[in-house]
Order: sequence, then C-alpha cells, then structure tokens
Amino acid sequence: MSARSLLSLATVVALASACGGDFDPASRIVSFRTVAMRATRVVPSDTCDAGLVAVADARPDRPPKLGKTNCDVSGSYAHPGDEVQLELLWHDPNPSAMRSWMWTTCLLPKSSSVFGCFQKLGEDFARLPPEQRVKLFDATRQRKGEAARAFETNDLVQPEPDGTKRDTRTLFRVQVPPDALVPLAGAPPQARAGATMGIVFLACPGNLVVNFEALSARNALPFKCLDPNTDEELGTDKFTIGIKRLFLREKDENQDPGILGVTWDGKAWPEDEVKEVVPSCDPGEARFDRCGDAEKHGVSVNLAPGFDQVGVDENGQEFHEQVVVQYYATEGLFEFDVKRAEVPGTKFAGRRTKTGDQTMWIVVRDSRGGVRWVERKFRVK
Amino acid sequence: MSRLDRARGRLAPTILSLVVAAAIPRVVHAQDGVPSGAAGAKVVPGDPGTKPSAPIPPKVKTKVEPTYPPEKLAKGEKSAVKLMLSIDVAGKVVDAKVTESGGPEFDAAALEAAAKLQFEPATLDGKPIPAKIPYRFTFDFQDVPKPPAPEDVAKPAPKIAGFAGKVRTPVEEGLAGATVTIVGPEGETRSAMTDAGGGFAFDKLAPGKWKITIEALGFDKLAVEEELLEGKVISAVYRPRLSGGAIDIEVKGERPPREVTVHTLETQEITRIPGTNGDALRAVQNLPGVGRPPGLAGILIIRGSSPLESNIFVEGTLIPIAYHFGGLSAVVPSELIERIDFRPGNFGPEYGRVHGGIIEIGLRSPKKDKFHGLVQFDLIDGRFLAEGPLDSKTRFAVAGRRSWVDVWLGPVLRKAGAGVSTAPVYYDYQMMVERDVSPKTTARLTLYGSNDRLAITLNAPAASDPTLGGDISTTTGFWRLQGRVETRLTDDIKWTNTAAYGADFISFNLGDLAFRLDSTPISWRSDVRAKLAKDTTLIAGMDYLYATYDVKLKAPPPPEPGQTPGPYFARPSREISGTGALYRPALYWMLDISPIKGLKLLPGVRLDYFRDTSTWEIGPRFAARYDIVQGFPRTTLKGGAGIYHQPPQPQEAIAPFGTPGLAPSRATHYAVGFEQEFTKQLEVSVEGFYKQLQKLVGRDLSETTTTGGVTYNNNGDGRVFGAEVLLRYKPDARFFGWVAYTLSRAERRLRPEDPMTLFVFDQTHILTMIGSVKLGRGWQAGARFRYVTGRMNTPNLGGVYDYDAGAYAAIPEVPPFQSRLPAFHQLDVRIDKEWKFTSWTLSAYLDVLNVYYRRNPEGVSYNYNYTQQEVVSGLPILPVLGLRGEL
Repeated sequence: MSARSLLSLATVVALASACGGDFDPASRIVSFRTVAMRATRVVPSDTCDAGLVAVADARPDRPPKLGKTNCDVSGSYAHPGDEVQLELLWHDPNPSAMRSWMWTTCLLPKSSSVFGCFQKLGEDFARLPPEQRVKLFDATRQRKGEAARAFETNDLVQPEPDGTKRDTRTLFRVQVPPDALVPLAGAPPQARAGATMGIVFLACPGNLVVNFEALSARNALPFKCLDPNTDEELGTDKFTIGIKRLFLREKDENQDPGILGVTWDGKAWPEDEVKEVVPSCDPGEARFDRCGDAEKHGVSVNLAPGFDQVGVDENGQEFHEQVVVQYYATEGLFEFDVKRAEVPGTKFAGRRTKTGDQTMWIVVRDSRGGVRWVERKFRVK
Repeated sequence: MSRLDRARGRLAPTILSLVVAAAIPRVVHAQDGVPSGAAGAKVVPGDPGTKPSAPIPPKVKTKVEPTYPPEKLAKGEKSAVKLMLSIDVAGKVVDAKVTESGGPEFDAAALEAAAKLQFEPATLDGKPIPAKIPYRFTFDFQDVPKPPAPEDVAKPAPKIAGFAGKVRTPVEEGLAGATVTIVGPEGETRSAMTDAGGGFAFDKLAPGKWKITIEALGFDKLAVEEELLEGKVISAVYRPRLSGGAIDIEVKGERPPREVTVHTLETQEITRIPGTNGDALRAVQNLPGVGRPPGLAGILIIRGSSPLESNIFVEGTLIPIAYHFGGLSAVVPSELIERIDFRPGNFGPEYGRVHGGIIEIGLRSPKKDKFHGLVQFDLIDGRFLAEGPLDSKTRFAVAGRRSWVDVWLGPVLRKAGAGVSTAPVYYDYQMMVERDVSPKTTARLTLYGSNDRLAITLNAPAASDPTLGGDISTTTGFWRLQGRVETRLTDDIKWTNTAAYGADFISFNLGDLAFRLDSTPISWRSDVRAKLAKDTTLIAGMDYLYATYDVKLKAPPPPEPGQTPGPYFARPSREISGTGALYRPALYWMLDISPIKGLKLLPGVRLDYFRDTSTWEIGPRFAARYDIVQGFPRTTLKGGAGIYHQPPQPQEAIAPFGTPGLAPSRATHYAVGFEQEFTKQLEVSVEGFYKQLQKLVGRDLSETTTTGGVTYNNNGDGRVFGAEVLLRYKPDARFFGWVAYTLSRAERRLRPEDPMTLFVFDQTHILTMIGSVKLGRGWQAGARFRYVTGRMNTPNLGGVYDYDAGAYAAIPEVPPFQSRLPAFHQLDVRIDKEWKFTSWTLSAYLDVLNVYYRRNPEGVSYNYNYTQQEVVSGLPILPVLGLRGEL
C-alpha cells in the first residue's frame, strides 16, 4: 500500500503541477533574477581539446563579461584539481540598487538537494573556531555591496594574468580539491555517482551574514539577509539564493548542449535583429491560452546534433541525457515556458503591460548540469 | 443479541444470506384460525467466524397456553405480548424477555407460559445450537361467549371470502415470521404472522379489493392488491425481495466480541451511504477512528496512524491496496462482500505486523438457488456479476469491473489546459467456486486481483521541475489465488485453513526516474477454535507470510525528513536493485473465558518472527468486556491493552536500499469505553484510546555512503490519544444512520532530543453524520455531512534556485507541520429509486458529492519561486448517476 499511495500522491502532484495556477509565469522576469549558471573548466590552451561542441551563438558580451576560459569545456563534470569558472546569467532592472553578493561552495554534501548543500555549509561553519566565526560574521556584515565570501580558499577575486578584472558578481572561479574524491575511494558506485561540489550564489539587498543560530537545523538557511537600515532579517522572498552542482568524476566529461541558432516564426532570428511584437494579452493576464489571437509568434532554437548524450559513465551506470529548453522574457507570455529539446519550439505573445525594448533568453539545459543560453531583443509596440 | 452487538465489538461475521424460520405455534385463543409465529429468528451458529450452511430454527415440541388474566378476561380486554426467547441446545427456554409489552398482567402470564415451552433445538449441520427467537402470545377472547349486540342480530348474514397463501424467500423456502397485513375495501385491517412454512390465512373477509402488505426483517416491504370473491378462498404466493442484497441475520454464538472495538457494517448500510457510490470500503471511512484521506489519495488513516501502519485482509489474506486510483472505489466490489470488520486498535492476536488498524473483508458465498446476474454503470466505472449453482453442492461467482474515468477525465483535463492526453484506468476481477465437500467441510477457491494504470503524456515539462515532462506512467496491481477450507473436526473444534499465492507489482516512471517492484507473496493462515469447557474457548493458529521481491530503483537518494526533495532534474541518480525474500511466520493463542455471566476475559499472545530484521517479538494482548446491565437495554464496560510490533518497511531494513539491523517498531495500545443501548435500534459506543509508539524508523543522510544513500534508525517515538463516539441507529425497515465523532491527537518525533510535533496525519476533529430513509415506492434518500479538521501543512517560506534545473526548491518552515489548512466540511446526498419487474430489478441512484460546493482545501499551490500561494480546492459538486440491473 505504501508505494501505491506514494505513487498516487506523486501523480496527483504531477497533475497539479500540470494544471498550475494563475500566477505570473516563471518565464516573466521583471525584477532581479538569476537565471542560469554555466561552468567551464579552465584548461591551459596547449592541452585544450577545442571544438567539442559547435557554438554559433553563445551569450553575447554584456558588461561586465571580463572572464574567459582557454577552451570551451563544460565544467559541469569536473575532475579533482580542476579549476572551474562559473558564469552567471542574470537580469537586474535596477542595477543601481545596493546588493551584497556572496559565492561559496560545499564539497561532497550528503544529499544533492539544495538543502544537502546548506546542511554541509552549516556543518562547515559550525566547525569553525569561535573566533573565526565572529570574524567571518563581522567580515560579511562589513562588506556591503561587495562580493563577500565564506571560505578563504574560495577567494579568487583577483586580476587575470592578462590584466583583465573579473566581475565577481557574474564570474567566479573555484578549484576542485585534488583529493576531493579520496573520501569515496571505498564507497559503492552509486555513492561515487552522487559526488558533487555545490556552488552557492547569494545576492541580498542589504547585509549578508552567516546564520549561526540555525546551523544545526535541517532545513534552515545558513545565511541571513539583513535590512541595511534596521538590521531586521529580510524574508527569503527578498533576496536570491541559488545552487549549482559540479559533478565530481575521475574521468567522465560532459558537453554543454550547443545552440546553433534561434528562429522566429520559422525563420532565422539573428542576434542583432530586434523583432517587433504587437501585444495580444491583457496586462494582467498570466495564461497564454487566454490571450487573443491577434499576434502570436513561434520561437524555437536549433540545437547542435548530439545534444542528448548517451553512454555509460565511469561508475558503470547507463545514462541518457534529458535536455530541455527554457524560455524567459522581460515581458510577454509563452505558450510553454519549458519544452523538451526534441520539440523545442513554443509560441510567444506580448502583453500590454509594457512597451519598448525587451529581452528574451533561451536557456538549454541537459540533465547532467550542462547549460548554454542565447539572448535576443524584441520591441513591444 | 442484536445488530448492535455486532456494532459494539463482535469478531463474528454478522450478515448471513440465509433464511431462518422459527415455527412457533402459540397461543391462548385462536384468532381467525391464523397461527401465530415468530418473526425473523436470531440464530446462534456454532461459530460465526464461519458462515453456517443452513441453520434449522427451533420447533415447538410442547405447547403451553398461558393463563388469561382473570380481571382482563372479565373486562373483555385483548392483548398480545412479544417475547425474545433464548433456547439452549436441549431445546429448553433458558431466558425470556418481553420485547413488546401487552400490559403487566399479560406480560406476567406470557413469561410464565414461555418458561414451560419445550422446543426441538435449532441445528446447524445437524448439530444442536443455541438460538434466540421472537415469540408472541396473543390473548383473545374469541371463544369467550358474548351475547350478540342487538344491531348484529338485525343485520343480514355478511358476504364472506377467504384469503390464504405463502410467503417465500428467493430460495423458495417458507419465510416464517413475516407480518401480513390486509386492508379491506371498507378500511378493515387484519394482520397475521406467517408460520414456519411461511403460510398465512384469513377468513371471514368482505369480498372486494384488499391491499396486502408483507413485511419481514431483512426483506423489502411488499405491497400488492388482491380481489377477493364471495364464497371463495383466494390463494397466493409472495416472494419479497431481499433488502440490501442479503438477509440480515442476528448472530450470536460461541464467538462473542473479542476486541474492545470492532465496527461491522451491514450490507444495506454500505450500499446506501451517500457520497460513497455504494462502495463498501469507502463506507468504512465514515466510521469513528478513520481519518479523511487527502483528496484523491486512496489511503486509510486509522487513529492517527500512517497508512503504512494498517493492513487490509480478504478473509485472512493480506492485500497491498484497498482502493483504486484516487480512492474512487475499492479493489473488492461491494456485491461480493459479506461483511467488513474494522478494528481501529486493540485487535486480537490473530493479526499482527502492523500497529495501526485492521480491516478484514469477508466474501460472501455465491448464491445457490438459481443463476443471478448484475450489471451496473455509473460515472466512475462499469461492473458485472454472475453467480449461481453448478450442481447441488457447488456454486460459482464471476465478477469484474473497469473504470470509465479515462473516457471523460482526459477530455476534461485537456479542456482545462492541463496538457494531459490520457487518464487513469483501473479494473478488478473476482472468480469464486465454492463446494460443500461434506456436511462438515466447505471448500472455496477464489481468484481476485486489481490493476491500476496511469499513463500521462505532458506536452511540455513542468516549469517547477523539468523532470515532470513527457511520459509519466504508473502501474499498480496484485492478484491472489486463495483457497479456503473450513471443517468442523468435532462438535467443539473448528479448523479453518486459508492459503494464498499471488503477485504484487508496482512500477513508476517519471522522466529519468524509475521504480519497479515485483513481489510474489505466499500466505497461509491456519486457525483452530476449540471449546475447552463450557465457558472457555481456545483460539489458536499460525499466520505465515513468505514473499519474494525484485526491486529496481533509479532516483536520487531521498532527502532527510522535512527537507525539500526536488527539483529532480539534473540530480545525480543512483541505480540500485535487489532481490530476496521476506519470511514472517507467526503463532497466536487466545482464550475466551467467561468466569461469570456477562464477563468476558480475553487474554492472548502473538509470537512473530521477522527474518528481515532477524528478530522474534512477543505481543501479549488482553481485552475484557462486562455487561453491567444484562439484557435490554444492555450496558457494557470494555477495555484492553496490548503490544504490537511492526517490522520496518523492506526498503528501510534491507540492503542496498536500507540499513540492516533495524528493529521492529512497537506500539502499546490502551482502550477503555462503554456501550449503551437506548432502544432496540439506538445505541451509543464511547471509547478512549492511547497508543504509545516506540522505535519508530527515521532516517539520516548516510555518513558511510556519502552522497549515495541514507541511514535508517529506530530513534523515533510518538503517541496518539483520543476518544471516539458512535451514536448509531441500526437499520430497520425505514431508516439507518449514525453520528460518529473522533477527537484525537497524533504526535511524533524523529529523535528523543526533539520536541513532539504533530504528525502529518493528525486530524483533531472528525465528525460524520449519516442518515438514510426509505420513502416508499422504491425511493430512498440519504445525506452525509462531514467536518474534519484541516490537514497538517508546512508552509513554504520562499525558494532556493537550482541552476541545474532552472527551477526553485521550496524552503519549508521549520519545524514542519506547525499549521493546518482550513477545515474540511461537505454535504453529500444520495437518492435511490428501484423498479421491480417480474424477474429482475432495475435501480438507479444519484450520488451528489459536495452539494453546497464547499471549496475544500486539499493543498497549497505556489508560484515559481514560492513567494505567492493559493489554496487548491478539492472536488467541486460532483453528481454521479448510476444504473443497476439485477436478476
């Protein structure tokens, strides 16, 4: 009865998820949001095996994109000793707002869930000597508007050798410890298959501090965001927390799915072309199917062949990647926010909420942590 | 003994499809030559745990005429006194109680005469058995000479006619004790009771049209009209229809209640409860102690326990599920169910391996008089049943059901924009052959099973978790081939063996996640009931379970309790599999001792072995009942205590899924209460209960298999306490209903250092009110109102973005379950109409759920980042129209 009951509940949940409510869709980005994080291995150029995936349309430069990798090798599967760069796709309609930023990592959390990483962080914080705790707490409080950090070893805010500077808000580098997999040497394959390193990003419109009081709680966040004026703790809806996993492997690698191009109503949509949209949805409308038929556009992406990798990993486990395409825009509604890569197209309709220049992002993710994205502009009449 | 006895706590199966006649000639002074008799007899089979094949009622051997009270005779007063006689195996009247008084003087005279009556005892399979029968003495002064009134002398001789006949059961046996009432053209009313052969007769009737009404316990009222002709005696045969599909026989015998609480539903109740579509197991959800399951979840929540802590048996064989998908209907159709015994706690040692509650389904025998058929369709499913005799000793039944939900739900969901292209399908089937091997042995072979399939194709992955996309499928099913042999070794020893072989299968595919379980259970229950002495009965037996399993799982390790598990997309999965076998034999003993009249002591013990945990467990149990007021209106005190063990779920205790070395969890049940009769129909039962839970299985993320699994432990504990009240009006010719109220609190914790918190299945108040009335002309109407405290809820405080999934993971409030959803309340109405034709019956029903459209909260829906929420409502107004044809 147990499994049966659980399955029934799961199915109901699935149905409920499918039905959804009339909330504003996740695809509509009107406030500060981080959307995706891409990991690339920092590989010396003389060892780089370039051209693993054809990338015709990577995310265009947008300030500040100062970092670079020598070779476009996905860092979603990282090896002990690798240096990995994380790049963040984000949108901030109010860039002048004060924010505290923090990057940190959790190594080999017991669970790959987001709270598994938080639990690991809490345990790491709790192990710090009291004097370091105070120092850390004070340090994070004082770093208003700057990139804060939790661990000395992750402090990679430094100029590149070529003299460029990395914007710590969008780029972060981390070194996978050379002995990262040593604790799992005798572990069963299914345990090694779950070895990850979590990358945590936080952005707070105030002061970020370590939440020492809740480090032992199972579900608590190990951080707090304090109002810059009152030091009152802000709700989790007021700040941004995100986690990405690096899958730690001895040999396995992953390829980020390649995006060859974008189409608009079945025709190529070059990066520099701004499409015009006549809105067909009412301002408050949250469902595409209730929009008028005045103007709806087909949007899709062309993916590089072999986007869904198939094989057997180093732990002997078969895999077949699931790849999905996720659509985001600063205004308008998509028929489906998420599509399977096999049938990637969706439809788009503008809303009468805002006019003027808007941005659309198309993010392609595979089920092993690989990701790429493209950005396009459109104008709502 | 009456129906309320069963409702109060009898182990015995209580509805027998029999006709029992009691031939009770009677009387002081004949009344129009119509013999008096007794209505629907109460039979005392040797052991109601087994359905008697054909009990023979007592017959009067020595008639006794009571003395007509002189002062009443002098005044010319007539009267009648109805008694309930207890007749022992020697045919002697050992007790007589007045059930319908005719006045003190008449009552005394009747009791005096009754004590002198001698009977041939009732028999079952040739063996004398004790019985209770109603008996009537009629005091008439017909033979007392009276001078004719002057006006009578002047009148001409009346024209007269006669009317006689027989009342028969559907199996063509005479129906004794039926009341035949006739109303003449001038309004003259006469009545009589049928004799042992179902016969009746009236004479000196006025010619013309007479309205004939026949009423008998367990049968629908039959009303016809007959034209009586002057100077002729009209003869007729009537066959009233069984009410509720079965005759309700009052059962009492060697097997009185052996638990503190057992609720038994009667057929005519379970098929007419509003909001259940006549489904037997859904009817159980209206009893005290049963929580309301979450919307569309077919689970049983008994006294604050997890559904995993209660078991369901079909005649002693464990089945894995009770309901089809969504809880819309049970996996065993009502048409084949003879009884459902619901034991919310303190159950006897015959049952174990769980410490919640027990539901035992008894299947009825196929009909043996002739072939019968049934076809029924409603919005949910369609079903059929065929049954009848194969020869004089063998009968069969075949039944099946398939859902129609996929036909209409798919389009509805698509229209709602759900992007779902199909809907759940379920079916079940039952085949039974029963044979009387010898006068003392009956064998039955039954094949039954169930299958639920759900295959959804989502046009697009869910934004909340891209894993929820594409094809989602589940299959859940089981079948059992069950053999059962009941034999009476001696007059005092009955031996029942039930063996079953079958399969359970569950599969689940969701994106990259997969689960499949195939299990082959073999069970054998051997039960001996032996009367050791006049007041002592031994119940002993073996309960054996062996089950092989083959499990494959591909999914991320489960999170710690309370942690958000998803989103699952791009989470490292572990792929593990395992094969093996569970071996869980058990022995049990119980004594049923009655040291003094009205007192029953029931000490028992169960010895369990769980090979998966390599542990032996002893569960002593004790229950007692004492009738502090015996006879009507009875008052009974009851109480009990017992220890119950439940092994960990296989996935918790068996490598590579779980942690070897876990111990079974343990519960101690305490209960105390009383039962009180108010009238023959109305009774109340009140119980307080307390369950102490120890060694509950919890889990921690594994240290030893970092990132690869979890470690289970026995660190949890908890408690459940509360009270249950059942005020019940037992079914009679016109009405049934009850008010059930449960007040309870269920608390648990994962570690001893944690504070107790409310358990996810805690429901403080559960109120159910049911009433159903027969309106006549085949109409019946009923209503059900329910009020249940809102479900436990853990609000989400926000979300953490998972960059790999492009979706948010909820941040739940800590600690969990600190708030509830709003309360649930709902009114359901049911209307039945029946049309009887010569050889078949057509019935229709309209079951309307949620009549006043209460938007009952079933959950909370959040926006993409868990910063906005709205309550998700359950079913809207849902009318279900059904049609049923029955041969």
